[in-house]
Amino acid sequence: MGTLHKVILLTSCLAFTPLYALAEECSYSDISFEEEAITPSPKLTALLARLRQIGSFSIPYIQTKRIPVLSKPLISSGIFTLREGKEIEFRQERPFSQKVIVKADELVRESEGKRESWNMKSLPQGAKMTVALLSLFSSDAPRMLELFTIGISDREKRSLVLLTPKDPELKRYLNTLAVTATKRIEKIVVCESNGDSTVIEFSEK
Amino acid sequence: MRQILARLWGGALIVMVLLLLVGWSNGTLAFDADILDLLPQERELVQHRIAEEFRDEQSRRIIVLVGHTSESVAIEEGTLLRSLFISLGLSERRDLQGEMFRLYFPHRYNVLSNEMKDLLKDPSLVSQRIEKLLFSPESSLYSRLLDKDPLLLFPSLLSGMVPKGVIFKEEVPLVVKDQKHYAIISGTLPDKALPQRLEQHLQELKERCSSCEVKWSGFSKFASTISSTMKREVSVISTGSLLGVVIVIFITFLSLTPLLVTVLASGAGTLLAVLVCEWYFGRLHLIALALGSTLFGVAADYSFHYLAHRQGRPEMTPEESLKAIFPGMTNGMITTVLGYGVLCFTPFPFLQQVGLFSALAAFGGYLTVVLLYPSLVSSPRVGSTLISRVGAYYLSLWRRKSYIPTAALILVVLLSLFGVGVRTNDDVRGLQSLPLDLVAEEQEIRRIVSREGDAGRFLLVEGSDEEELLQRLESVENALRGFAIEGVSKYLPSRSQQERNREVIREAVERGRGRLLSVGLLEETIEKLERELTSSSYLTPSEWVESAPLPDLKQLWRGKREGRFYSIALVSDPAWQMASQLALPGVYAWDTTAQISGTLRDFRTHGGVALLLAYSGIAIAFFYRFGVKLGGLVMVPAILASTSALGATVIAGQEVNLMHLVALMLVLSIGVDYAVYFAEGRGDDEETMTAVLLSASTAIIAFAMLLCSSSPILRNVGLICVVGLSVSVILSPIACVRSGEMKNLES
Repeated sequence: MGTLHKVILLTSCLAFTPLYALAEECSYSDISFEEEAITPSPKLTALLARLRQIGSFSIPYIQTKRIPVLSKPLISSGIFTLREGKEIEFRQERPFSQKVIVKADELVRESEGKRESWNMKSLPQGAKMTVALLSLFSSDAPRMLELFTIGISDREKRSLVLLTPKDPELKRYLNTLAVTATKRIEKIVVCESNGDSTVIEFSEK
Repeated sequence: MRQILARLWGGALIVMVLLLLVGWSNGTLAFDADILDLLPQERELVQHRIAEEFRDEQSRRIIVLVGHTSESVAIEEGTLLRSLFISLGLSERRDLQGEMFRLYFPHRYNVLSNEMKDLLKDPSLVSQRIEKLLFSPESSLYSRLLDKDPLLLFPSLLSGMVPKGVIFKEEVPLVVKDQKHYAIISGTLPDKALPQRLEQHLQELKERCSSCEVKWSGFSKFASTISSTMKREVSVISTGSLLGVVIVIFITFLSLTPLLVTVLASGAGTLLAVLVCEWYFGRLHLIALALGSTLFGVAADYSFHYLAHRQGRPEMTPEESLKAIFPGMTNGMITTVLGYGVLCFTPFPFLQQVGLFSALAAFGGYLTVVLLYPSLVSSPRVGSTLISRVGAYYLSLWRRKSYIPTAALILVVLLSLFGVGVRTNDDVRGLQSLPLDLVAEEQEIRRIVSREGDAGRFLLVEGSDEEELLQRLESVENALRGFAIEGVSKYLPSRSQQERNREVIREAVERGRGRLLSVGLLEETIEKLERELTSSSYLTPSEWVESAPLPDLKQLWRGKREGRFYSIALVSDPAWQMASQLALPGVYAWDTTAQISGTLRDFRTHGGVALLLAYSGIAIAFFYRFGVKLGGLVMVPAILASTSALGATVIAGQEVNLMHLVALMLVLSIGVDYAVYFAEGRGDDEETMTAVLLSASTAIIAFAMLLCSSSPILRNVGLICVVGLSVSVILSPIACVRSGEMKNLES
């Protein structure tokens, strides 16, 4: 699939798609966050250091995607793998199998024996999103602060990190990216500007 | 009176020289290099005209590829180049993405991709596809569409329209091949020449970015290379021809004056020919110019006549010499002008140009000799020269009945026997040798942009109205399904196809409603889809022509011509054989190469008959003038000249085409005179032999220069003329011997 129609889809649909109310997962108004300054705070540094220690890992996940025009969420599950903070792999097993590999410069999908790849430079928003995800999993604090306004809230040994994009182009695409972490990342909630929300929950093996 | 005319002609020559210099300096002297410009244009039928217009448009298309291992460099250079294309008017600045969306999104139910048409037959596949897309990495893009396009038909339509592997980045189409990113910039040139600014930009790009790979294709590249080669060759042929004439004249007359006046006569003729042809034809073809340049030597013949007479009869005044040769020279000029002038009435632009050029060159040379020579040449050097001694010796061999002329005759007959094995080939591609490196680069570009097919070979489809035309295009596409076809039906379906597409969607929704609901689509979304299926408008040809942001495709739609509608479908090479045999109404397989080759074959056949008629006519005239025996002898060199020239083509491995026939006509018109001079001789055979050797050597030198050309046309003409004229001159004393005997008998 060419980039042409993806960009057409994105730009044109933004023009007429009504902005839906944020899903419940995307509401953080009742939580107080400590906003990070330009340099990472000791709290963020400690959190990222904790995550960094984990290094490479594989963990089962369940993804729940809510789209306002669908009557029910789309649920998928599989194995999530992080490789040295450089590569993320979603090996989806249900409802059908497919593999999505995200690298800094490439997005690869393998499904039904077919392999498709996209150059990230030709997908600006996608690229930034990927960089954001990678920076999160690789605990790259300066990169995260460059892309997002970061707020941290601690509650019952859990940290909730809320990332709000700074870049206007990314803002058109993404509202917030929230990460719940203890010693490891437990949940990621992606709230998109069109009202879609995706919750990825990681469970212990 | 002659003095006044002489002054007028002298003044005209000065004006012509000035005009030539002005034209040369400001670039108004235009030359063609496309071989097809030399060929007759069939423009009687509207189909011919459409094909010709399309071929012309395609010949002005240009594709530039800027390749680099870094995508950003390719995009950066591609963007710069695209801006230049737009500023030069070669392409338009278009919001391609927005225009595609605005045109096709409202018609997402009317225009379906082939993939989607197949998929809709099975409603379970439709729901599976929606699910799959929503689970893909680009799910956000698709989810935004769901409300307006719940079956996600539009993404499938667009992906089917964008050439495979091509992505757009900052409006620059990119393709990745062999680990390199190539920016593809295409446009249409105003004429067949590359704009200087673009040429300069490409040169600077190569210098600025040494790691960039810059390739460009299009007719203009071939034209500019062939044009510069031809210009170089024309100058070599002209110089060589001139040099040959100079040497021969110098050896003959051992004086500078004859040399200068001969150059003046030939130069005046050529000057007149170039200027009048440029004015009359607008553009002079380089091959016609090159062939015309060989007639530089032919134009010198009038000069030789005068000079030879002055040399042989020094006791006469220049005016008396001119008076003595005037009738013969004038008759010769008239027959030459008429002979070449006939070519102007052929349907071949090439022959028209050669005919007019040669006739004018001969006329200009004649005028110069008649008007200016008596004042310029008063007393040439008198005495025996190398050429006259060679001529006298050769003549003595014939008179002594030496074995050498007999052996020459036998050799010529043997050479003629090879002519039995002559083979013909009328393929127009054989008339032009394309530079191999450019052909390879063209093929490489086609491979990179995945563009197959030949723009000179296509299907022309017609219909009584737009709907019938579109339906016929769809029939063609169905008949050739599985092959790569570039036509408008994928982008503009017929009304009936659009109705069928809606029906297919309606059925798929009806049968797969449950599955769509199970994916999560809302009942109201599906109902909205069903309402839109009946209420939305159809895509019309006029809307498409007005709004489609695809200039390449729009060129295929030829619109209404003489009450009928036409469109073109380009077919890939593997499918051509099948496509050319399609027996569908209103579908014509158009092969420009085959068509032109067929025309060439027809003209060769007719030309062959005309040549035989010319030989017969000349033979009858000679029989009448000289009697059967001498007339027959005069014809012997002319006939053997042609047959031996054909034999030479067999030995050289050439296959005979129309141009060989043109050359045979030249051999007949030039070569037959040599024997006639002897038959007409008044006992001055030695002087005649000298004049014949002089004329023949300059002509042969000029035609021999053509053998060095890279143009097959010129090489073909060169071989025939060199062999034919050589045989003509070698055998010409046959008429002298016979006429001498007859004179003796008479006395």
